[in-house]
Amino acid sequence: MTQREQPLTIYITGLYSGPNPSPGIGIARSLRCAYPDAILTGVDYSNRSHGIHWPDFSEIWLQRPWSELDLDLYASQIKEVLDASAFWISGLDLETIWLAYKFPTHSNLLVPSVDALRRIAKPAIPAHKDLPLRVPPYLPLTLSDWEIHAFCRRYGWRVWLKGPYYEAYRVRNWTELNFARSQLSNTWSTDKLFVQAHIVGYEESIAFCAYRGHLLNCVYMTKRDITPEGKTWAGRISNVPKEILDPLQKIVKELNWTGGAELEMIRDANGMLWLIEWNPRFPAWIYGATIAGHNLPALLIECASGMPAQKNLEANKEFTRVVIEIPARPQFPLPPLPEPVADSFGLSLKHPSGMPLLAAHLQKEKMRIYLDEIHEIGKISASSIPHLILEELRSYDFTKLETPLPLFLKAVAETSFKQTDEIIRANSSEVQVAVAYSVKTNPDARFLELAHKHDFLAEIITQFELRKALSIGFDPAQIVLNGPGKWWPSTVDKGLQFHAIFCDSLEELGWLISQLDEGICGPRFIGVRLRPPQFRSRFGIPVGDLRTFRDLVSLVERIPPGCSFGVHFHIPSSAIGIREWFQLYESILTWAKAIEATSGVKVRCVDMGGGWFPDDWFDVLLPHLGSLIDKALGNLPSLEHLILEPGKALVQSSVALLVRVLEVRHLDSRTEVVVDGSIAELPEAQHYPHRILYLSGEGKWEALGRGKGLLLGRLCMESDILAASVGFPNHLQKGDFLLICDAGAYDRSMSYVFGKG
Amino acid sequence: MCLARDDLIKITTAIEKWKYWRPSQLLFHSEDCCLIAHKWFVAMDRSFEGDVLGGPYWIRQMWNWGPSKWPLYWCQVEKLDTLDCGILAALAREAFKTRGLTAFPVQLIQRFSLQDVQQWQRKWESDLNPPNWLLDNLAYHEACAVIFRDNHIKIWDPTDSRWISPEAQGYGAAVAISVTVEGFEYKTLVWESLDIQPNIWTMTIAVGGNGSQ
Repeated sequence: MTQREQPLTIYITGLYSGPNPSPGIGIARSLRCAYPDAILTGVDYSNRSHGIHWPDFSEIWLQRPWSELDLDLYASQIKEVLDASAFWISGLDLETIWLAYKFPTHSNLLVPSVDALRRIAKPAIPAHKDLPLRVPPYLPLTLSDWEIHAFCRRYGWRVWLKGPYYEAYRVRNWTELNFARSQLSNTWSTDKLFVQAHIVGYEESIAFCAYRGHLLNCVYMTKRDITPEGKTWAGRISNVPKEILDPLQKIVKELNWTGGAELEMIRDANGMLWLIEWNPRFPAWIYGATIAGHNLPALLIECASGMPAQKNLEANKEFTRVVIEIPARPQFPLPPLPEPVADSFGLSLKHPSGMPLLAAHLQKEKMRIYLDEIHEIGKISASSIPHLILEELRSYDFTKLETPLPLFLKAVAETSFKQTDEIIRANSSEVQVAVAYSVKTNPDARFLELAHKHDFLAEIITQFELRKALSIGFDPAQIVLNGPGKWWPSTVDKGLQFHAIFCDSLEELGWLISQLDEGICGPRFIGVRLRPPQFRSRFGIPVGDLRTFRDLVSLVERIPPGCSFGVHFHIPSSAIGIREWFQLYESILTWAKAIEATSGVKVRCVDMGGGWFPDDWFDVLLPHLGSLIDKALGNLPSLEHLILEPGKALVQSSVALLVRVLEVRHLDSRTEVVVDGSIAELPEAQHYPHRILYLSGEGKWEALGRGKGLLLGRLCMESDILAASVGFPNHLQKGDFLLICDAGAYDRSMSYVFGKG
Repeated sequence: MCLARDDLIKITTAIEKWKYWRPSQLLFHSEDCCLIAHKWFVAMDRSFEGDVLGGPYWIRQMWNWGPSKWPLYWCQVEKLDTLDCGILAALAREAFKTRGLTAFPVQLIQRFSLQDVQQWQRKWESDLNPPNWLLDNLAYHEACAVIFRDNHIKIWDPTDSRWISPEAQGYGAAVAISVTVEGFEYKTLVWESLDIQPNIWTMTIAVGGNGSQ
């Protein structure tokens, strides 16, 4: 019997039909319209994939879960059905990869080739290069934590953590990133993860079908409604614009593409399209295209089989999903819910087609090499340690030191202060630029002395800090008072004339003005801390409320003529991201301009709060200082003074915590190393990456890279984990030294005594 | 989609009814009260502006939609619980303009259901406001056009906080539009697939002939 004499039989996989569905049902519905008499066989790997009950399927081929399947046997079974003239359309990415690998030349397998899959692999998606689309910036997680953290800061912690197959986690800070890294890595049995910048915009897609490099048809879909997970719920179908269609045809030809595909994109406010994914299968909304008169699965089968499909007319360009109940197939009784577990839904519900199991299976077998080839995203690298730190470590005899011990890296500190001083002096012209050292960041006298030596101001938040700064030699005229507790614990000496006082509330501003009215010495600048409406903060005056803004304007009008007015803001760039910080800066200038225009009082001083990661301070902020000054003068022509608060930028790298190894535990999956340091000496351990060095037998300090190790503190506290994903040397043993760098800021000032009796 | 004759008559009647309506504008007291409110508004928009061409979504997060009393001054806006589409459009226009973009008032006629119209009539009448923006199943509406390239516009509906498209048909769709442009710089504006002559009401649905009034 020839192929044409056989009844048309099509195997369709990926039948899950939940809020994040696979395309199997959409493919089956489309094919049923075009081929009412075809045998449509639904294939899945779990009886929890509810699409097995969809009535368009003539029969169901339910497989055992991937973890149980003998893949060679299963492949031979698939080969039998393909050889018997049936077609196979996969709705599962990982299954597509496996099938392409197993049957590179079978004409009835309607999936792209291995080479084509390689060219659409995330995150680079090399095939996109001739399309008018960009791939959002990304970074493989094989790079050092230091570089990954820098990437996340750069993109304002609007980033996604993604794996090579499915799933993505939106991460907003370092703690979330580490959690997501562990989840994805465990679920998909791979370390080939990457972070990718989030693109703000509208979600759009292109679906196409092609046979042996010939683009049969394609549609454009604009999402009209999405689920909380961002999946399509409703959409509008239109034609693919010519500027995309022409290069797409060319690329499909180059890739010799066979099968369905979907390009998932985001259109930003400027109209730029960003390519997020290129899926090697039809999308789950494919029946929406059929409704609009574009039956892509039918075209594919028509081309592959030569059997003419029934044409369906366009019913509507728009489609939506609804929730409906259908009878379950009696031969596949619904399984009861799994045993309730307190904190989890379990894998079987989240990934009912068992893709994580297939991922694990493939990783264990020879496919691993192949998967690695497809998803090659870089070699593992360790953080680079500045030469200056390594140089300074040579001056210590570590054997005589008691650990845990914070090491003050004098040369590193001096260089940070000196470089900052030089750049500031070079930029002081029209506007006087000053640096204010935040005492709270690290009140160590050695840092305060350095600040004093370089003529920096001292920013204090309590009277304790004021006393400390005065004791170091700061003049009151070099002191900036900030925060809600600046007058605590005693009232200030009325004779002191400070450099600047920034009030944290309208009440404080009113009180301060009344004090000045009574004749106490005024500061050079009296100002307010603004609470910008776009960020959540407990500090400053919430100018987003118009009544508060009006009251502020009234109070500013009452500031005595002897004092100049200033504004202060403080939202850490290390928390909100660099681009967002620069946007914030411009919005603060707009607020300052608004106050100036409405009160008639000139803004003479702007104080930019700290929270700068050292690399960002030296590599981003200081090089942009000139343009920051220009922008300030553009808004506030009367500006005289700009205060920069580097915060942790000057001190974070200047202290490292020396610890000794107490124990090395070799577990199956990872190494755990317990040291005599703890979160009591390193309270910021989980908030940002700390570079870690190991003192080798040859007396050389070497940076530790990524690995499967956990660095644990000495405390009997579950949270006492100093670092995760650390690559320890095999010969590490009890008594060895590790040095945890970047511990000079809040790790020092917020450290505490714990577990020492 | 082509218009039925009855619909065409209704829309033509509606255009006749509203063609002399000018786009809403906020007034300015010559005292500090309005200056403060205006400067505050500009700073607020600057705070929430992500991309310069991003819609000023924050406006609707601040105010509900509903009847407003006219005339209205800048200093009064903040005290109101509800703003009508005209004020929302005026605010959105101001936001775009202060970002340095070219923005125009947009007047629309939208098609809804008679039940909707009855609901809105009740709402406006209970606020002692004449529901003269309603006719049969049609509603007068205001939005804001912004030039994003040459003479190409996007239209932001600040009441719904969405960009709208001429391709939408049926319930809620714009059936006629007028973009008010001062000066002679733009002879035609392009709104996706639709060419619009400024300052003239244009039907957005094919009528088999010249739909302009």
